[in-house]
Amino acid sequence: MVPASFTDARHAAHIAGRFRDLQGLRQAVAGVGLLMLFASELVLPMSRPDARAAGVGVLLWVAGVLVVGFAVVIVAIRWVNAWYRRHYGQVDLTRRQKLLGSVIGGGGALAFLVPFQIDALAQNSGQVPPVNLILFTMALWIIGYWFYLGRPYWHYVLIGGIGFVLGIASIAGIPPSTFAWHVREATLYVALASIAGGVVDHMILTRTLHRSESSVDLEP
Amino acid sequence: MTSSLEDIDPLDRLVHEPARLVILTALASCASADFVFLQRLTRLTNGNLSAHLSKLSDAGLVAIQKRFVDKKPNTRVAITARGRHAVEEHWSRLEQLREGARGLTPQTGKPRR
Repeated sequence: MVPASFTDARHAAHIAGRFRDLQGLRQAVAGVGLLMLFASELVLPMSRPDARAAGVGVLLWVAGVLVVGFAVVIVAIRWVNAWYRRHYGQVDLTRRQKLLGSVIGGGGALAFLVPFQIDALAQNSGQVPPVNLILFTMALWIIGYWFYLGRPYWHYVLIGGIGFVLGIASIAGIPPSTFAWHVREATLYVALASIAGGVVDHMILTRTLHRSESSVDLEP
Repeated sequence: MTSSLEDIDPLDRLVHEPARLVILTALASCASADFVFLQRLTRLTNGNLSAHLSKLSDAGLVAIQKRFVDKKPNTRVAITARGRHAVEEHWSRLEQLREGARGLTPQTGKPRR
């Protein structure tokens, strides 16, 4: 059997290498921002005829709410960053780790935007895919993220699995197979996945690292 | 091939001490970390962590940089090439020990009194 201190050392290395990824409150705040986006999608016209019918006033009002919401999320994320720095310190990643993080993040953006664009193009040509592709690509990306983050983080398998189930349900027409509902459902899924994943990651991090109640006297 | 535990070099006590092994292993998986992070990770007191870092620094295994961030002192610690080599070597020796221990079979017969 491996002595506890050796497994502790391996675990410590893992936490140091994934320290920023495990700062889940940042992800949870972004999820709350996406929930606001989902709420706006419920009232936002999602097709050209609907946009024309809504009028410029409504569009400007929704755009204003979105800009303010985005700004609030950015400020909240900066505050969360500072909170983590104050209570849990800082880790600088290697160039390779930063590059890998960018590739993972970029992959996530593509997993949402590419099927979104396919759906939008289909709608413009008068057709809508009978399946919500975004759910499948995002679920696949989340499983990939689980491989990247580490095997003990099983909650991402569950979150990815829920995405696949929702994707299969979309083939059966739940919710209705329209561009608007595809986008709304995908936004809600990503929002809830971010919040759930972020909260669990944060709990894992705080269980591992002993938190200081005060930022005073941290240095010798 | 190493077949017995006697063939394995003696463990480096400087690296093998549990707190220092945690510090070096963690630092080997990132570019650098600050004092607060290492303290949260190891749960050592300020004094104990400082003492361990001094020993590692004196041996040339880590590089310590003190600076001010937002008018507060901030200590950055990074593993050196020598430190990285030492901790990798150490883990490899530990793996050898594990492999060696697997080959050992328990003695059958009555225990000596």
